[in-house]
This record gives sequence, structure tokens and C-alpha cells, in this order.
Amino acid sequence: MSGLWSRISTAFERTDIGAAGDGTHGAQEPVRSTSTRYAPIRNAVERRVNAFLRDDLVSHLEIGPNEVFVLHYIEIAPDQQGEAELDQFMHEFSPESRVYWVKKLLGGAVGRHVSVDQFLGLDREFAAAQLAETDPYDEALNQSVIPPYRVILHGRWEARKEKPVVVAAASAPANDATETPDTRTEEIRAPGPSLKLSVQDNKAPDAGSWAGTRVIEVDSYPAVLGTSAEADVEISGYYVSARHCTLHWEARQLWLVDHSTNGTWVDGEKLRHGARVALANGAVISFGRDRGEADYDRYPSIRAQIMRKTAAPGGVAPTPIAPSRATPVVPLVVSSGAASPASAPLAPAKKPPLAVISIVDASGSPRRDVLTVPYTIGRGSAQDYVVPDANQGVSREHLVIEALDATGALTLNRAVSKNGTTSGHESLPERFTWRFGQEIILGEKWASSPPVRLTLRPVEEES
Amino acid sequence: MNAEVESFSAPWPGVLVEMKDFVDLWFLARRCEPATVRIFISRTLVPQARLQPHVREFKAAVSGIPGCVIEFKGTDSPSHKIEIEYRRPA
Repeated sequence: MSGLWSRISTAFERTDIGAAGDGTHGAQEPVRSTSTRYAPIRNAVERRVNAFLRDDLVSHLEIGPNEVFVLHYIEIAPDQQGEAELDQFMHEFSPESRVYWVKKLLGGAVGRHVSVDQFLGLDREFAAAQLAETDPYDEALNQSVIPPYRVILHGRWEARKEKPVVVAAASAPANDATETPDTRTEEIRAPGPSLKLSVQDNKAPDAGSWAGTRVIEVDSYPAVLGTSAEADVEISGYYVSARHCTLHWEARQLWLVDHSTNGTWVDGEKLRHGARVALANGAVISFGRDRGEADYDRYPSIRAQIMRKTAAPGGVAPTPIAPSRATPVVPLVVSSGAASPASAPLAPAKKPPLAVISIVDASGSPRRDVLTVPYTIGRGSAQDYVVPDANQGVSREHLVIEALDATGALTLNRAVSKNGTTSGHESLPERFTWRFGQEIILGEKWASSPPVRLTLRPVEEES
Repeated sequence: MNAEVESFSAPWPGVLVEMKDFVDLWFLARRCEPATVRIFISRTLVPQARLQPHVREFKAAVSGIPGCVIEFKGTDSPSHKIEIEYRRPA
């Protein structure tokens, strides 16, 4: 056991707040590409820190917005195969370098929501005997496969010492006016275009049709949507989270970021947890499930219409811009000033694809544009390309395109230990470069259902 | 919260195939409902030395179900058990 840990083990109470690699957080996190020989260690630590920032921190701050996590130390627990690599890692990188790396991973959260004043470092785990670990049978049951490193953050939550920044109130429901400013989260809000939200939930006067919705206007961002009384737009519904999603105005574009437990749908497409998408004018946001105009009390919906701001001070009310429903999912770039003529529709800013995938699956021969990375492929409903259920040999999340370059795509083969991915009848490893023009086959080993054939093509070849 | 419990007592490690089918079929029937799956392995049926690598493979096979948390525990009961805890829509 390291001398450092024997000293600090008596100094701090052991306060695990969770571990990566246990299959709960790790599976939902995007895996970054890395080519160093310490990739599994880096991935495990990065995945855990990201899960802490996205899940633990966000959910804690929903209840205790004025608290800060005081990080004490981080330990890494290798399984048998990772022991030697971890030894080399610890030998190669000084304690100071490891502290620097962790602070860098924590990024902007340091100082705002995380304190590293008492951070001692990142090191191997305590000796199991000293920690009085769980029953050896349960330990044997819970041995992990990938990644082989368990990363545990130790620390405690404390009340923030300084007073949070007072924020400007949005044009929100009347009951927001009674809120005291110091109960709001620390965020600097900036003005943006006037957005008219037609909310269909059980608070709407005549919900069930868009005509009977309640209308809320938002003109400063970020704006939080959720059931919390502190949300900028309060939405009522069984499957709506306290802070379900946030609207941002950045780079002259309206964005939605999902933080929900039960999911957010935009124009009928489910977002991946934590996803950030550009919102089209007239986009319909559904909470918990996309049920159209049905079940609005359990699965509320919102239609977002961008309003032009009036040119004359104190003049006419904002005019809604006609929603572009003919091409529903194309994001719009909006002029936030009054320069454009009042009747002119806003020009769509179509994002060019990074690559194109030609597919042969149970539905026929569709093609999919890869618009962003990571790009996920599998039978799960939250994937970017959802493989038909008839292709049973394909896993729920089978492949992840992590990065693209001139030769092809750096691809994570999540199904490597299951039904696998092959090319020319040879199994592909956990990470491989999917070259442009190369055909790969998903679930070829699965005899009882057809495999899926995919060919990656550069955009120039397709256009 | 509601829970559904199923017991399994087929020989090890073949019983894991039955258990995996049960989990897959449950999620197929109730697509994407958030749930916690607790998998209890009988200590009397399987000695600790025979757990791996079968449990690891099983875990890899059932992981990745969206919104689902999978937990493994040893149990003193005479059969293996799967308990699926889920929230029924109001």
C-alpha cells in the first residue's frame, strides 16, 4: 500500500460517491479516442470524472445548489490484468502531474462547484484488508470486464462560502416573481432572441391541442425547463425532471441540452442523455416520451417559436416567425436584431455531413449522414442510427464512431465480446480504423437473423 | 416502484443463458422503461471459484440496456434469482 494512503486513510472518512467501471455510469459515457499505452487508465479516470461532473454533481446541485464538493483524493483499483500497467503509470507520472491532470479534467467546475484546495492526489487504492471490503463472493461476482480500473472519488459536500451570483429573471410564469435571487443556480444569463414556448401540460387552460396551450416567453439564456419551482420555465408532468433540459443561445443558434432521467424528444427524435442539439424554429420538444398531443399531463410537449424583436423601443409585440415545418429538423440561424424584413423567413443553416454510411439492413438499403461524432450505431432507441429489431445479431449499442479523419473513422467496437463486427470474415478488435470504402458486417456470427452491412464513404464521393 | 422476481435453478453456467433470455425478453416487452435489475447468484449452487469468467461474460451480455442499472449479489437461497424493479406509469 502506498505510504500516502496510509496517512490519509486516518485523516479522512471514506466517502465513496461511486465508481466507474461498474457498468452503471461507464456504459452511458462517450469514450474518447486515445492512442497512448495508458489508454485504459486514462479512459477509466476520464469516464469517472465526466460521470461525476454530469451525473453526481448535477443531481446534487438540484437539491443543494449552494454546496461545493471538496475533493480529497482519487483512487484507482486495477483488476489483476491492469496491475502492471498501473504500476508503470504511477512510476512514470509524478504525483504533481497526476494532480495537474485531474484538475484539468475537472475544468471549469473547479472553483464553482468543486474545490481542489484539499486535493491530495490520484493514487492506487487502499489495501483491501484495511478497507474491510465486501464479502469476497460479491467481489468475485462484481469483477469488471472493461475497463479494468475502478476509479473512486473521495470528498465531501460543503456549503459554498461565497454568496452565489444573482441572476436576471427570465420572462417566465408569474410565480417566478416571488423567488428570491439567492436560491438560483450560479449562472450568468445573457439576452437572446425572444422565444415563444407553447406549453401543453396539465397547467394549460385547454391542453390537448396547440390552440389551448399556455404561452411563456423566454428572452434570456440559458433557460432551464423542468418541474422545479426554480426552473425558468416550469413544466408539470410525471416524467419531467426537476431540471429536465436547458435552452442556450450560442453562435446565433438556439440549442437544447438534455439533463433528464426519462428523456427528451425533439421533433419525434429521442436525444441521448446529455446530448446537445440545435433547435429548429417551430421545434416540438416532448418530455418523457413523444406522444404527440395525447397524454399531455404525463408527457408534456412544448412548441418553440422564435420571435423577432421589435425595432422601435417600447413598440409592437414580437412577431412569431413562421415555423419551418416542411423541413422540420433543419436548425435555423436567426438574426437577433431587427435588420431583416419582418416577413422574410430565416435562412436554414444546414450542417454538412462528416461522412455517409451506406447500409444494407432488414429495412432495405438506407443511407445515413454522420453529422457529429461520437456517432452511435445499434438497436437501442437512443442510437444515432437505430438498426431494425429484425437484425437481432446487432447489439443495442454496437459501434461508436469516435473521430473521423482523411482515411476513415476511429471506431469503438462495443460488441467485440458479443456478436462482434467483422470485415472480410475477420473479427475486428475493440478499436479499429474503419477505412472509407471498407465494408464491415455487424452480427455476422448470429445465425438466426440477417447481419447488417455498412460501408463508410467520404462526403465528396457521395455528393 | 414495482418488482418482478423470477427464480432459476438450472445447472451452472447454462443457467446464465436462461437468465439473460429472461432479462432480454422483459426489456423487449417493456421497451426502455427505467429499471434496476438485481441478479442474485446462489452461493449454495455455485462456489466462488466457479463464478468467473461466466459472470463477466453474462455481465457484458446484459450491459448496455438504456436506463437500466444492473447489480450482482450473492444469496444464500437455494436458487438464483432475478429481481427487476421498475416504475409503473401512473
